[in-house]
Amino acid sequence: MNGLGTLEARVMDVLWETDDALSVREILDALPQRLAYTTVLTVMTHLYEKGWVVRGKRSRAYLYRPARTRAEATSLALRELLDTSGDAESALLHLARTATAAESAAMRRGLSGRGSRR
Amino acid sequence: MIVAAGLLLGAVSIAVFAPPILHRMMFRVSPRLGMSAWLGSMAAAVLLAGSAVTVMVWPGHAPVEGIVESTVQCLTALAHTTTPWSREPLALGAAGTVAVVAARLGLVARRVIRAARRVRAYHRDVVAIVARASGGGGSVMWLDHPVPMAYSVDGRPGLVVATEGLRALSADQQAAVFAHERAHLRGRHHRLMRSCGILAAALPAPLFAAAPAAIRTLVELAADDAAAAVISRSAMHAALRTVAGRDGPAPSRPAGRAHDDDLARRLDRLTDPAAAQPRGFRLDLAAVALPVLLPAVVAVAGVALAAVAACLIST
Repeated sequence: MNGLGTLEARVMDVLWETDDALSVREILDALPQRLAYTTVLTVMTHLYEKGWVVRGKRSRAYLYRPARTRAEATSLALRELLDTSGDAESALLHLARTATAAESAAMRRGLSGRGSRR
Repeated sequence: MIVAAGLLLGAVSIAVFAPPILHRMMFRVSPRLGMSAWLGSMAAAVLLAGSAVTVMVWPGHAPVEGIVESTVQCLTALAHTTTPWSREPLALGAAGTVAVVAARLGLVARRVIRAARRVRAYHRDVVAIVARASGGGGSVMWLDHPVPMAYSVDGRPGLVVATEGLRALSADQQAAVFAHERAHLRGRHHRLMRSCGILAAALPAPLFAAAPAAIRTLVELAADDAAAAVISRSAMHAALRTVAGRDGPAPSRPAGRAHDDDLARRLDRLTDPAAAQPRGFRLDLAAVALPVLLPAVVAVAGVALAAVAACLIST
C-alpha cells in the first residue's frame, strides 16, 4: 500500500475518534508523524473527492468530518465484498462458504441495531 | 491423419471420462494429490488436443505419422484412398478452432484478471481505511462487524481480512483461522482458482467445467490440513464450526446440498485423525495416473480397433 494510502487511513482514524469537525491544522497536530501542511491538505482533498469526508467553512478554513460513521462504512464495504461473484468469485477465499443470504440478513440487523457510533 | 485422430480421441476421452474417475478418487488421497490429478488431467487433455492440431496442420507428413501409419497399414491404405482431398480443409478447420479457442481464452482471462484487480484495488482504497490493522505478527485487517468471518485476497502483498466477531473464538482457534488463510496465500490457491475458472469459461468440456468446484473443495481441505498441522486439529474444527454458523441459533438456509456436504466433509476430516495419514505410495500414484492413463488406453485401443476393422474391410 502506498504511503499516502496509509495516511488516508490514519486521518480517518483521527476523524472517527472525535465528534468535532477538524481543520487541516488540527488534523496535522493530531497525527503522530511530523508532516508538511501541504501533505495533509492533499490527503484531505483526496478524501473529499472520494466521498470519505464532508467539509464546511469556518472563516477561511475548511473543517472536515467523516461522511459516514466507521460502522456504516464497514457495513457498506462488507456488503460490497460479499456480493463478489462471477468473474471475481475466486478473488476472496472465505474460511467457510456460509450462506450469503443469512450473512446479509445478519449484516443488516447489525447495521440497524448499532445506530451512530464513532 | 490417424495420429491426429488418435491424439484427438485421447484428448476427448480425458475431457469427457476423467471427471467421474477424478470425483471417485479425489477424496481418497491427500488434497494436494487430488489437485495434481485434476490439473494433470486438464494439462493432458490440452496437450493431446494441441498435438493433434499440430500434426494436422503440419505441412506434409509430421515425423511421427510415418512410424504410426506403417504400423497400421490397413487403416493407412483406407485413409489414403478414401479422402485424399480432405486434409487441407481439416487442417484449416483445426487451425481455425485453435484460433477461436485461443481468442476465447484471452478474452475470458482478461475479464477474470481485471475483476481480481478491482477486488484488490477495493481493498487498497476502501478496506484499508475502514479496517484496523492488527498490531504485530500477522498483518490482519480487522473489520468491525459482529458476524465472525475471515477471508484472504491474493496480491503483493496478500491480505487476510477478519471481522471483530472472530474475536469470540479462542486464541488457538483464531490462530487456526489465520493459518488456514495464510495457507491459501502460500499455496497460491487464488491464482489456481482463477486459472480453472478461465479454462472452464473458455473450453466447453466436462473436465474443465467440473474442475473449479472440485479444486475449490480441495484447496479448502489442503488449507484445513495446514492449519491443523500448525495449530491443532481441534482448534481448526472448532473455528470452522463457529464461522460456518453450525453452533448458532440461526438455521442454515438451504444454500445447496453441495455446500453442506463440503462443510460436513471438512468437519469429519478434522475429527478423524486417520484422515491425514499418508495412504501409501502405490495408491497415490495410481490415483494420479488413472484419470490420464485410462483415457489414453481408450484412445490407443480405439485406433487399434479401427485398424483391425479397416483390415477386415479391405480384405
